[in-house]
Amino acid sequence: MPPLETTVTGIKLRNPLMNASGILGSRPEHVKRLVQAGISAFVSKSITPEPREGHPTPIIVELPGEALLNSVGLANPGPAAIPGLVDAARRAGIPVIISVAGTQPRDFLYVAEAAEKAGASAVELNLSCPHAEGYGLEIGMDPSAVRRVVGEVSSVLSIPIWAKLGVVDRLIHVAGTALDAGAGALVLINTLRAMAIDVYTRRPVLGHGVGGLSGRPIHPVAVRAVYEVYREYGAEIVGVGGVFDWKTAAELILAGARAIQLGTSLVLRGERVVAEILEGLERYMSETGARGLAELVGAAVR
Amino acid sequence: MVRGSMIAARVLENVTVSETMRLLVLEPMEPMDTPGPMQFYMVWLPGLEEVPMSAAGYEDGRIHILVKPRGPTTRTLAGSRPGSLVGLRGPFGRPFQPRGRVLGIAGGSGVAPFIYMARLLGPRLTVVYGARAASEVGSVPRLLEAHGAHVLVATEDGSVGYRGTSVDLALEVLGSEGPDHVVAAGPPAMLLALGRALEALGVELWVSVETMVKCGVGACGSCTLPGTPFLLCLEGPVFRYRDTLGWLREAAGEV
Ligand SMILES: Cc1cc2nc3c(=O)[nH]c(=O)nc-3n(C[C@H](O)[C@H](O)[C@H](O)COP(=O)(O)OP(=O)(O)OC[C@H]3O[C@@H](n4cnc5c(N)ncnc54)[C@H](O)[C@@H]3O)c2cc1C
Ligand SMILES: Cc1cc2nc3c(=O)[nH]c(=O)nc-3n(C[C@H](O)[C@H](O)[C@H](O)COP(=O)(O)O)c2cc1C
Ligand code: FES
Repeated sequence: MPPLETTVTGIKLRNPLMNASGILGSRPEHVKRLVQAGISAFVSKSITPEPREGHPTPIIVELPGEALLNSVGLANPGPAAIPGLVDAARRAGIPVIISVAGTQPRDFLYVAEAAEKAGASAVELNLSCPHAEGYGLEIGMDPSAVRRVVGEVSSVLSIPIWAKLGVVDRLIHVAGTALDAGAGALVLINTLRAMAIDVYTRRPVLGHGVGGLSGRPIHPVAVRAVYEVYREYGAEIVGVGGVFDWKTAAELILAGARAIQLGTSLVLRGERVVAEILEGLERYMSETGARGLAELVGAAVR
Repeated sequence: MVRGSMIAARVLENVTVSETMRLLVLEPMEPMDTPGPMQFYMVWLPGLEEVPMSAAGYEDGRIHILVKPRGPTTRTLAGSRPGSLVGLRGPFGRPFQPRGRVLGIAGGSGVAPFIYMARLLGPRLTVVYGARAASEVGSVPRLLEAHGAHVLVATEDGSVGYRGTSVDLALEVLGSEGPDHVVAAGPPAMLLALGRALEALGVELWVSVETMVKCGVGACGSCTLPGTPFLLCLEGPVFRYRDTLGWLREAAGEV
């Protein structure tokens, strides 16, 4: 087995790096860009049962310290776009994960079924978007809502279900609920609810006011979340949050992630960041005598 | 400072350029990168939205934009008073830095980036500017000529300059001089007409197009040039004409 190969819910990945949902991923044209960058699986923008325009601009600002604050507001083309996205990824020869968002169990089921029918490799249930009212985090912080959404989807779907959770007070409890209800893997973490104010105009900068913080500053939060959940359940985890180089990737892997998603670093560093991280990881593994990624997953957890 | 951060800027001047266009001089409160030719900013009007605007000039850290009202945000921007504040992010897009002699063909607010290019290229640049009537031309030729660029005006009613379209005039210019590069910005129908005419002549054309720009940093995908892997905010707004054909036909209502 090549040293960087890994699997998540039985899906074979030639390396541990995927794009994070919402970094491009709403049109087939984006697949080509991301594949050229070297990702091992394509993750779509979160799809809702109806197309969404998203929030008013400004939808994104860069903040000091390699961070982004966004309130895109789940702008997406709706389920009609799923077959095109799946085909593009299939033609490129990589697994395709369709991210799904909604306000109630039947929304998730509707989109997840469309994804399965189109031939997606897995669905990622977005239970953690922090800036679209009624979507995401409002579900992800309520264990009973998590149980209903994941349970309903898993009772119908035969492809694997990944549950993407955000940082909530009782994360371990919510994570356990999602696993119990049928999630094969957990994706940790989403952006953190945050705000920026322009001091001259004296206004919140984002059109929506509140947004989600991503990038370097959230990396330690992601490491903690992955570590705690892995320690409790030994679950399959995809780590996301502030991965910018091989070292930040290795930290998440040592905390328990079998694979990594890249969001902000793809935007701020450009697509070359994928190759840089892979080269770095390979060097790190040979320097430290690790023969395969599997040896490193959760190795820091005690 | 990083490109994607929001920098407040004060409106220093608001100058009437023509019946339909205003030139705003903006002074950022913090230093911003120097724009390259054809790059653009996201201009935020607090309380309204954020819209893409080409760099129409850059002097002593001050950014010039040329605004043609189209909807609520551009209308308010065009009427903004000196002293008021806007937010700026950018510059975004890829600078278009041609060597040699350049022929620019512009319609409407598409002339904005050529005013900045004139400052950088001087007499190496010839601009063909097309408008419906004299009232739309206003002081555009003077802004272009201020830095030594050559200007030819076409109006559909013949009230100033050549009577006809910018495409007709551009073809005449191309018949007499052979520029090293031809680049155009303007309404989709104009770009298509020009592209088809130049294709027949075997002249390569670069076009600056408009897609929906929201994030400016390559994250949201809304600016995708349909049918291509290109993002306007990263690789554009100037593309080879053939890459834009599908989008131009859609934008012009042909398909
Ligand atoms: C790279 C680029 C450079 C531009 N440079 C200039 C310039 O120098 N001067 C100038 O006057 N205009 C320029 N424009 C056009 C300008 O951005 C639009 O006129 C403006 O966004 C309209 O916003 P609105 O709220 O006033 O009108 P709306 O009523 O919101 O929209 C009117 C029309 O403008 C277009 N539009 C709206 N929002 C956007 C957006 N976020 N991105 C792109 N197009 C949009 C759509 O076609 C829409 O139908 C440029 C556009 C692009 C893409
Ligand atoms: C512009 C932008 C859009 C995003 N859209 C989504 C989305 O649609 N669904 C989702 O689950 N996460 C979305 N996210 C969150 C990312 O997938 C990721 O969880 C987060 O950005 C943390 O990773 P990072 O620090 O590598 O960016 C978005 C993030 C950004 C910056
Ligand atoms: S405007 Fe968001 S990717 Fe270009």
